[in-house]
Amino acid sequence: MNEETLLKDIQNDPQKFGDLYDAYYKNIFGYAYRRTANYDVAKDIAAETFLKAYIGIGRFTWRNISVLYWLYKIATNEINKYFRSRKYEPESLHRVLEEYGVDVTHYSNAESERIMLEEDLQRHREFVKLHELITTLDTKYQDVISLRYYEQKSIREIAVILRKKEGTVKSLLSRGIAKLREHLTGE
Amino acid sequence: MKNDDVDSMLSKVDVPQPEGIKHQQELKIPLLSYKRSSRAGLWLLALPLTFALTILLKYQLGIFSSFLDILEGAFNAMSGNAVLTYLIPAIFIGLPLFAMIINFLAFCHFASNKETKELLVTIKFRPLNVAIFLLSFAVLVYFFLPDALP
Repeated sequence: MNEETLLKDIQNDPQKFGDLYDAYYKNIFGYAYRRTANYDVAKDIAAETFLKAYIGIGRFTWRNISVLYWLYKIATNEINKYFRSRKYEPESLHRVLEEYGVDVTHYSNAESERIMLEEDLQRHREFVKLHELITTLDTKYQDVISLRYYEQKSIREIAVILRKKEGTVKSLLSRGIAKLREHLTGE
Repeated sequence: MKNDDVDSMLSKVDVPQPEGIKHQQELKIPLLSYKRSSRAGLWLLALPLTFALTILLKYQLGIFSSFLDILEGAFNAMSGNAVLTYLIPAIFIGLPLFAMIINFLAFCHFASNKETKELLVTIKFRPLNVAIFLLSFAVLVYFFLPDALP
């Protein structure tokens, strides 16, 4: 997929946004799910992310940086909203659901999909233990640790996503790991 | 335990990869049909509303200002132009009518049930669309008054 061409196409035909959606939904939902370990919240965060991207795609300027990084940035902001209040209110999603009367949270197979993912999560015990510890850290450390180890992003990619300098990302990562070590050793 | 051990632990941990998710298709349709009908309604009303307000302020409320004179002059020039004369009904009646229809459909939904032979009408609480609908209606009523059009 040539994103630069696709972005130009989207300017002329917003329906082409569907190609971006199809290509990256799994990445964003997966990221939100690994961050929150909650199927319903991850689903809402992914939906809100794409809705915000759809509304704001006209302002996106191509600078040889994948749209995926921008989507990660939006998703990270939404995830941090969730961690700040421990509940998630997808504002844009609510507005569109109200307008069109379609409630995505009432997906007919949501229950079976939720059970399937929860069962899968139980098979990742080591991840669940680490996730519980990581979520006790400040969100700025959670962001870099998750992107580095869950999403396998390089320092440079994390810097692009979070719009921080590479040195800042390295420093946050180092301090985050140190704090996580303190939690693991009970210091 | 050292920081490197934590780094190694994090690097080796097997993270869940959600597979076989299908719910995204349900969001895709409303997502891609998202429109801002309210704003469209406001843009459609801009010209006829400006004219109606100019006339109301100047002749009904007796407010005189050079700005209102300029606006009135512009509308008079429109009525004097041979081509624009034909467009006046479309601009002053067609645009508010269109704004009224799209905003009405934004808060009022119709669905028919063929089995029970019922027509289901749902009215959603959307104050902005209702306000623009009423404003469009008022503008239309104004332009249907005798001698209202420029």
